[in-house]
Amino acid sequence: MALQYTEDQQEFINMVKEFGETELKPHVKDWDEAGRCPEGAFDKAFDMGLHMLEVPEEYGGIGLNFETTAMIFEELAKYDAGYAITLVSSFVALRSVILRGDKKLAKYFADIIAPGKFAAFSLSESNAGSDAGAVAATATKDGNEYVLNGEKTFVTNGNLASIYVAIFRTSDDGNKGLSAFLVERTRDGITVGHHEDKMGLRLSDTSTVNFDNVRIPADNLIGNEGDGFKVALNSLNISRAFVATLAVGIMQRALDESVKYAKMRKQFGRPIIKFQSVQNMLADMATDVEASRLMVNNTMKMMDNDLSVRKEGAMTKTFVSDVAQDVTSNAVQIFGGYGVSKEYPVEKLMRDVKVFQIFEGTNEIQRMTIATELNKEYEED
Amino acid sequence: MNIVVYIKAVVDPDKAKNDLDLAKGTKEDKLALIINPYDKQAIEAALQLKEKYTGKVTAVSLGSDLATDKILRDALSLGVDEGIQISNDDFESLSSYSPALGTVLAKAPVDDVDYYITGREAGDDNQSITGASIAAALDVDFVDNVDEVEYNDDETLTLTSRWDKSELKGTYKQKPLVLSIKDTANTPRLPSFKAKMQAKKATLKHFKVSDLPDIDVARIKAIADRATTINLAKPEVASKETVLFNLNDDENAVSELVADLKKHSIL
Ligand SMILES: Cc1cc2nc3c(=O)[nH]c(=O)nc-3n(C[C@H](O)[C@H](O)[C@H](O)COP(=O)(O)OP(=O)(O)OC[C@H]3O[C@@H](n4cnc5c(N)ncnc54)[C@H](O)[C@@H]3O)c2cc1C
Repeated sequence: MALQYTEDQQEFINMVKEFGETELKPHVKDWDEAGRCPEGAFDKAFDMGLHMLEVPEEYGGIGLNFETTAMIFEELAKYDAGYAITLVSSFVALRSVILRGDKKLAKYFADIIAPGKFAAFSLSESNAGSDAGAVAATATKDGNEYVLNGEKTFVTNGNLASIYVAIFRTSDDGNKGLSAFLVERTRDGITVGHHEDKMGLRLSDTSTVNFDNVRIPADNLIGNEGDGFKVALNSLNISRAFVATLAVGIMQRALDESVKYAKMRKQFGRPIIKFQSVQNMLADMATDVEASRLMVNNTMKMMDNDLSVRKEGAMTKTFVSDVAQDVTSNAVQIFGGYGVSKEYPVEKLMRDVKVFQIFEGTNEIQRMTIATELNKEYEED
Repeated sequence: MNIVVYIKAVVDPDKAKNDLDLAKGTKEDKLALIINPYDKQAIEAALQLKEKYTGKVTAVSLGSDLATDKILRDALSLGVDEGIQISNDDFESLSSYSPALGTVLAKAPVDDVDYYITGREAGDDNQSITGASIAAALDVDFVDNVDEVEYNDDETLTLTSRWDKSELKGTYKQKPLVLSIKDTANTPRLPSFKAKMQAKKATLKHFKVSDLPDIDVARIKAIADRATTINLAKPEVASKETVLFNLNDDENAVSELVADLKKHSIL
């Protein structure tokens, strides 16, 4: 592997490997079939502090940088990316509040999740997917409170979260009319509705959340009124890089399984790895994994240096999730008929990886972002 | 309550090149050094005692500085409070199969110890003498093969020891007591990242064998000299492999396998 790990990073990866082997591997198949994780499935992850890795120490976290956190989560995603994204979504939501600079609010948030609770980030609605500016759910100021109304869809951790970072409309002014709020699950008027029964990433909860005259203190506004779009973009920039790292984990697993199988499976009297077309598939898969990992690593390092990753994050997420489709599909191909069987591990990887082209902004929208940034870069003075 | 747990560094079996490497303890790569898997249950037993009665757990490890540093920090990241390294640089002959081992380990400077705990055996050489030899050196009672621990309100323990063909359950009032913990006794916890980060910065206590308080070097040498290791090797294991079917002809593989398992009364 081209990426060199420090001794610390390698030790952290080993810790998660041990966790994956003992706590996930024996259960993933059942939980995937059930379409959800059972009660308590995250208890040991909380004990280890996996939900707080990237959170700064002043907020009770472990204080690892983005680069190292990503390496750890790549390893976890080899066992199950849905399990991993449940933890990622939580700390990314917190990070979006930390980035707005309100320490008190961020500390309040961190104190809620630190003992072992989840957070969620909620922007999408039934009519506001790619077009985030179409958010219709409203927040109306009433004295020292805001009153929230509307329905949010496709909320990762919707049903698990104790706290939401949610985007509501405070004025009609398009993107500028959006504001971000911290909403505690315990507020009256919140109900969790439809649970998506997904083709993949089935250990991750995706649910609809309804807000019916939910009253929250005005202090729960993140930043100022009108900052909602910025909060969302900040959050998405980080989560794009992290979902890309999870896709690398899925791909690496697909590659590991494929090479092992190709060495073991014999046809025409020899292991199928001896056939050139199988070799070509494996070589392309390995190259894609390598390129993806390096791209993720570079984006993470940029984030660690407080650089904007608007373009690079979009590129990384798009490239990685596109090649991941081929890598997982070729894994199934190499397994032949056994590839589509649920008795073998690779069909799940193919199911799990599809959504990476869709969420955190579809790859079509990412290409628009990349082009917009390019256009700006090449603008004549 | 003061609890001492003795832990040994071994080469990760997944990373050892061959079995003999493992027995000799080839130590090139620090990350390939792990806490002897059997000692993980000993640490867990110590931590559970501490959580039940409140107290302090001290881990003691004898070996090269590189190895003991690595595994004592691993132990700290599991929740152990303090680590003591005993360097055997000045005592090359002091290996885990030396009769003097217990005499040295018993000198680890920890005050007012209630329980001394070891794993049942070492994963590399599979000897299970440490617990007994520490007990002998300390002249305290020893309970072997502890498979179940019940914590009584008066801080006594009811222990069940299990061997292949027998089981012994008793309540032990005496302290200190040396316990050797079986690998089926508990499920060791996983390290937390927070403790891991603290463990990296922690200061370990460090002693050479000859610097240990009250150590009688001449006596240790005399004991060590009583036996000399001539050869350390793995016995030839008779292969029990049977080839049932050819991978290229898997038509009847399943039925053949089932029939054979039935024949051997496995199914
Ligand atoms: C498993 C999962 C988890 C999710 N988690 C969250 C979450 O935690 N929080 C959250 O807020 N949201 C979440 N989402 C929502 C996700 O971000 C949206 O699904 C995504 O942004 C796409 O929106 P949409 O589904 O409405 O598709 P649409 O916007 O309806 O897009 C449909 C198709 O049209 C294309 N398209 C749309 N507009 C254009 C255009 N202008 N140019 C070219 N092509 C276009 C799209 O690329 C896509 O191919 C999640 C979604 C899924 C599936």
